[in-house]
Amino acid sequence: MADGHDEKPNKVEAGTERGLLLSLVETLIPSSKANGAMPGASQLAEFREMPSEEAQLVYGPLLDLILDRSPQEAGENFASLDLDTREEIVRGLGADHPEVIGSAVSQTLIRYYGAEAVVEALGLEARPAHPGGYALAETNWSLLGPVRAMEPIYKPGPEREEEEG
Amino acid sequence: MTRIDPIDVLIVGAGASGAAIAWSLAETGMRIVCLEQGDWPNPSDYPSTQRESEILQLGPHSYNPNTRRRREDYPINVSDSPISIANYNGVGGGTVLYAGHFPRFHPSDFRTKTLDGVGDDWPLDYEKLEPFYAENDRMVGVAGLAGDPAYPPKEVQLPPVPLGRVGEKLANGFNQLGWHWWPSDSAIATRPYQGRDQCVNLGPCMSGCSQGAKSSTDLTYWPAAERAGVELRTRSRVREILVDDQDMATGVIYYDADGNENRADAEIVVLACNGIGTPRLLLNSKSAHFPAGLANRSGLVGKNLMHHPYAYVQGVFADPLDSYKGPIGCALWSQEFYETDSSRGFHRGYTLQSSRGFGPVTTALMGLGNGRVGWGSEHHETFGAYFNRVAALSAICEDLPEHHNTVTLDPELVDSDGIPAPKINYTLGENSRRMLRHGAERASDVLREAGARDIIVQSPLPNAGWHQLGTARMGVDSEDSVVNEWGRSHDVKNLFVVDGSIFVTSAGVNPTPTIQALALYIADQIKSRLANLFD
Repeated sequence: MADGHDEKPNKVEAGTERGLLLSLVETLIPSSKANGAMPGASQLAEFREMPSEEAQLVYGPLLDLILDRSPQEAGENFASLDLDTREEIVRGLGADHPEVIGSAVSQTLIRYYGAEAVVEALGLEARPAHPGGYALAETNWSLLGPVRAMEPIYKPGPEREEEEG
Repeated sequence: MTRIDPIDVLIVGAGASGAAIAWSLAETGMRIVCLEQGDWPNPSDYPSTQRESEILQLGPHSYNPNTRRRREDYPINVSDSPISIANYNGVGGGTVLYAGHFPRFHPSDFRTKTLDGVGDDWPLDYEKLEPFYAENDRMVGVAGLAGDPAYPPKEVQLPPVPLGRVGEKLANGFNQLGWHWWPSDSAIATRPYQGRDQCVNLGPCMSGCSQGAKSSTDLTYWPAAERAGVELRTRSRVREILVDDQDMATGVIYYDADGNENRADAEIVVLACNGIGTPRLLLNSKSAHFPAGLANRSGLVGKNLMHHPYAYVQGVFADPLDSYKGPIGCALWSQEFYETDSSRGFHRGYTLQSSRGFGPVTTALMGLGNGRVGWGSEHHETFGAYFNRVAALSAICEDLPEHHNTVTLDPELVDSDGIPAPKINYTLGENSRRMLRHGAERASDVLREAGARDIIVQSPLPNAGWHQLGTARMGVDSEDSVVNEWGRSHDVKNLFVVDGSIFVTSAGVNPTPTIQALALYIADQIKSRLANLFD
């Protein structure tokens, strides 16, 4: 293209750009030891092996913002920054482009919490609900004692009121 | 155009009401055919059979047809409504995707004009409908507990759905306030019932029950109706109803699975497409005798659309609640604020219905939307404080009938067969706004008493157009209603409507038991009047 702006390259096609993508998703959902051992998004196959076309669709707009932000923080440099700095950069971009960051975070959450490794890290069983189902304890209906002692609270229809009156 | 053999009773729609009336009329021996635009659902395809169930519910198994976008779904223009529509097009209709929360109306719901000076009185009452509620309950298999002081005495068939930790938290909150609550009536088999397996607490009832424990009409009425001789034709989408010069319906034009145009002649036509599909079809059936749409000489077809505006209030607790386990919408209800109390600043009232929580994907997305779950360095701490710690109450508010809330035909939008799509124009009335505010405050009171450390209010809930009512309402006066007191069109004497569109008022409860009781009642009226049905 003449001006080089109309044609958007696939930012996650090349290996170096895959590194940029993984540094971005790790920024959005980093690993944590605070609530059990939760993996960071970059550790998951859902992101490491995400088809480049899908990655471009989901993260392309945010990657564009990162790459366009300033030459010294772009590309590989972003990936080499520490987590706090990367988060600060993305939050800064999000302030001006909330819809771009909102979409990227939503899609990251869907993939992250859909991942088997994450489900297991939460202490849940990584299986379909059916057919095994789940157990719920039988209820102690003595809880209803105060309510059983109530008078009826419904209002009869007018005809019934007339009959009773 | 293919023309099929004459039919005695042609039913359009195989959902809650179409199934009930088909089953009830089958004993007459008449030739009964039901045309359904969707297909039979396959429970093994429901999301709960997949580990990625939550992701499937965001797309192909959404309860929003505009998201689902299947061939059998018709688009619905909701650009002028704060509430989007939820439905399911297939055998079972909305019962495939409902929560199974199964409350009856109350006696006062049929007399709002007389009692409270709002809405209108129904042309029938609770006592007249009660035998049909009971008959429907036996078909459905209602789980619950007899003795609820919010209702006249009634029977249940099965033990209630367990409260779980979520329900017990809420029950304690209600008890501390001295307010009414009761285990909700649920269309869920808590024990094996008439060939259906018992509930195993899968959770996502609203994307179909793989276990077959939830009472959807593909599992209850339809097998019985087909055994009795009713013919159900799926993937058959009706475009219009035909009438002759004597203002009698003669049949319908419909498209089959291959898109071929067919004509089906019938002695009686029954509409069971609910509060959007029915007015859509009537408005699309214009003729020289009915230039404003079929059976619309009152001008009320498509008017008075009622939903139930929902105030959804979440309480976040410190301790884990196993909140993703169990039927999401079935634990308990409260009708402490159901009947009118003028000191509250609004007429009529609402039910408080409990809800359990969601799985991790839905929790994360909801938390992102309401600000409780962050990203980056704060993500895991905020998610951990939210996931599996939510108990919720919804205030299901009675929506009063208002002429300006309408279903019309969109001038441009069409379905996959080229039939005009419906357009919704809906605004919340002042009474509903006040009721929503009150409901959100009282739900918050309960959650605080129960120990919630954070309260999140969403009101009105935008994706909550589950109930579509009032758009072809019943009444004795042909100037002020579309069908008479037993569901027959005032204008077309062999045309019946049996779905939620005939509701006069909405009440403050989910409508399915009343929709089905009305369909059974109308079937009973047809059977008892066969000798002079069209007089």
